[in-house]
Amino acid sequence: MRAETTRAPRGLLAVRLRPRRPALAAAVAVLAALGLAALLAPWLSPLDPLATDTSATSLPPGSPGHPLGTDQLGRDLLARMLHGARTSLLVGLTAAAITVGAGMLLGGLAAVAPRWLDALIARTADVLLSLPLLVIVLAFAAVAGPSLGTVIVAIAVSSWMPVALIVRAELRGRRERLYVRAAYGLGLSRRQVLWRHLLPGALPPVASVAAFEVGHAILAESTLSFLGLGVPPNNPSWGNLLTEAQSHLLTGAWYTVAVPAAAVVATIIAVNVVAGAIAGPSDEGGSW
Amino acid sequence: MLAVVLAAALASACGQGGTSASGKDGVFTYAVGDEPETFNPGLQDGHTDPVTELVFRGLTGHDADNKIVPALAESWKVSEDGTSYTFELREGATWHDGKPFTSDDVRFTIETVRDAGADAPLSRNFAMVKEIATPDAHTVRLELDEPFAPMLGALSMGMLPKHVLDGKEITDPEFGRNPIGTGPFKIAEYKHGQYAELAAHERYYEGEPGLKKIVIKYVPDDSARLIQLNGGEVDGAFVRPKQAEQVKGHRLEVYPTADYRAIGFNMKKPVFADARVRKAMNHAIDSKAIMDSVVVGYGAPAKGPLDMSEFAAAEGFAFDPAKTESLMKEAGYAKNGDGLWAKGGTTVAFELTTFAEDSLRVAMLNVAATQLKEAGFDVTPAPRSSDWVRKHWGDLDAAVVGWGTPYDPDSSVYGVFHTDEAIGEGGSNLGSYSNEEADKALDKGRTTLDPDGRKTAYTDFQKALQDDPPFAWIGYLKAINAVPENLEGPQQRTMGHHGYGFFWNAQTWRYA
Repeated sequence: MRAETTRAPRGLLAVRLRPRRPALAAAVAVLAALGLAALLAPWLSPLDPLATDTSATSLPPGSPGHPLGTDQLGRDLLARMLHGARTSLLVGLTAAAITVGAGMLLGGLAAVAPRWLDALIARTADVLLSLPLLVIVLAFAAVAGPSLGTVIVAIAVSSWMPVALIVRAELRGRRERLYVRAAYGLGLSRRQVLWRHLLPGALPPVASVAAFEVGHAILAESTLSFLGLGVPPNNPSWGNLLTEAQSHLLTGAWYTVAVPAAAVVATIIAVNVVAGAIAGPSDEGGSW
Repeated sequence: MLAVVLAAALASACGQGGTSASGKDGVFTYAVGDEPETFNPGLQDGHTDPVTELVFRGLTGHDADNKIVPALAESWKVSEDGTSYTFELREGATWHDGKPFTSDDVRFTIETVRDAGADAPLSRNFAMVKEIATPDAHTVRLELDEPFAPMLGALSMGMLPKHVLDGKEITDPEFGRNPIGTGPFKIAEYKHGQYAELAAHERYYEGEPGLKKIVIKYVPDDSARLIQLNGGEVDGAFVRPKQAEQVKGHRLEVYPTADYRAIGFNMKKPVFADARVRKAMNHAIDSKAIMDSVVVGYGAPAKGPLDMSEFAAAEGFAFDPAKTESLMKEAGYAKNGDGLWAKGGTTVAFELTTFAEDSLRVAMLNVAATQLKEAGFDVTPAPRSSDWVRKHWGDLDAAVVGWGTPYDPDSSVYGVFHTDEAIGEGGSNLGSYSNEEADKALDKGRTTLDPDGRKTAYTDFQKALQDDPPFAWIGYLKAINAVPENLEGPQQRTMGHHGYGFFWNAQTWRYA
């Protein structure tokens, strides 16, 4: 009896803790697999993602030579998904990196800059935050025209604000702390204080935001391409595959929609699980 | 965010109420994808959308075989030399607002469109009209500078009401939205981007139409149109080839069109200088396979620009890899290490583009590009946004283009293939094609009134295109319209661009 009662809390604890680790492991595995698939796309599928085959149109998944089937022009869906992963993940990672880099730079600048510059950056961020992403990107894409670069810049322009505001708040909050004052008292320059004490302290919250930005960027690419504003048409990306499939949504070829949609959903969930884990075990919401 | 967009698309597909389907009270609601910028027939370019087609009538019309028949004009006489036309107008024709239709309206229409210049593409049809005389309210005489064979067809353009437009610009936006015509249906209500509601014109000169109302609903999304059709929200719809099988409980009216698709080459690019290379590409394209896959058989391979016309005479290019090979060798090309034709180290490299928004053209582009690549041509498929394409016509390498008319051939071949109409001169010859034989034949076809003489001219023209192809021909589309089983009246005719022309005899439609 006693042995059982002592075990019970452990059991409960196990129930609470276990799902997180397998989920995290699975999420990392999913991301690694997708990354590898994207890297090795030309070797994993010898078929040209743009080549049509009028003798093999609309094949269902599992057809010989076409594991995921073909679309209505006979293009191999696996080849298109793999090459699409290249575009979508490249855009996602690059856009997230630029977003975080620009956000940290602007946030840091705002925290140490003269009042007018601080106000300028903070108000710009407020204005951009109050506009829907699509409005910003529509305006930008209309001027620049669809291209990979446009997508990346558009995503960065429309999503650097949270990072900047977090960094700015973190730095300002820490500026008045005793250990920072002590550092100044010991004769360290502003720059040294910034590098040694302020920035390292601001990094953990930024890291968790950064992981979420990757997911956000991949989703934004899909949305923009779906609307014809993202990756130039005809180049496979997950968003473009969805756009093309959307017009034959009702014609029975459900897998042309389901496969890229599933890839986007799986990636976003995996990225968010990883982001949640980075944000720290203390997070109440991180029980994925 | 993607979820939101999808949800919005579905919501807009399901939630556009307002006009409910009901066959019994004589209402026919029809969903179509594209909405014109204006309903003013004087500003359109021969592609007459359903509303303009229902609201307006011209002096002449076209019957089921696209032969010219009387409409607002009861009869006409053409002088021997073809420079004088006398029309006797129908008595009793009235405008939708009750005013009588008279010879003054005819003179006003022709003069206004002729003098509108760039605003009115159809002004080209009236440039040679020197004088218009109106001896009485029902007689009109046109004096031309030179004979113009397509004149009777050109006068099928909708007549404009002088009493409404006098003193206004032809581009008057109010008239473009709420026009007044003499056709069997009049505009009752128009909501831009949503629908145009048309009511029967009781005093229509051929008698009151059989339907009480026709509602033209604008539903750009193909899937949404199919949902509304099958859900009973609309009675009829323009459907895409791949959707034909999904249509439930409706009759499909499948008509041929004169609307063809082809790959247009930019003749200013040195890569297309040799006619043998362009012929070789024509033989490398398996247009039957394209039409079978892209439009699932709702179309036919094209041989030339006039296949659906009474002047059809093109020999066409059969899919023949051996011919491609011999033509390329004759032109001095040899296959390089990548399997591409090359001459002096240069491949037949070009970018093939089209409107990215037009899924049918993009599909044709991709299949054609694959076929050309397999045959050894270094093609880069790159659809681009239509705005971009329209701005860069003159600089493109090659593009999937569409032309064709079921009416007088002049209107769709003179502007597209005549040297004087090159894009640099402001014309619609986008590839700057220039062939002396073709020019001569086109000029003759336009100024010869004798039918046999015209036939010879257009045969010569098609021969010139066969020897020096400006395009690689793909195919003619078919127009598919779903209508209620109990709707009587729709009659097959060769349709125009966009499949327009379905409502040509709508005044005779009725529910059984």
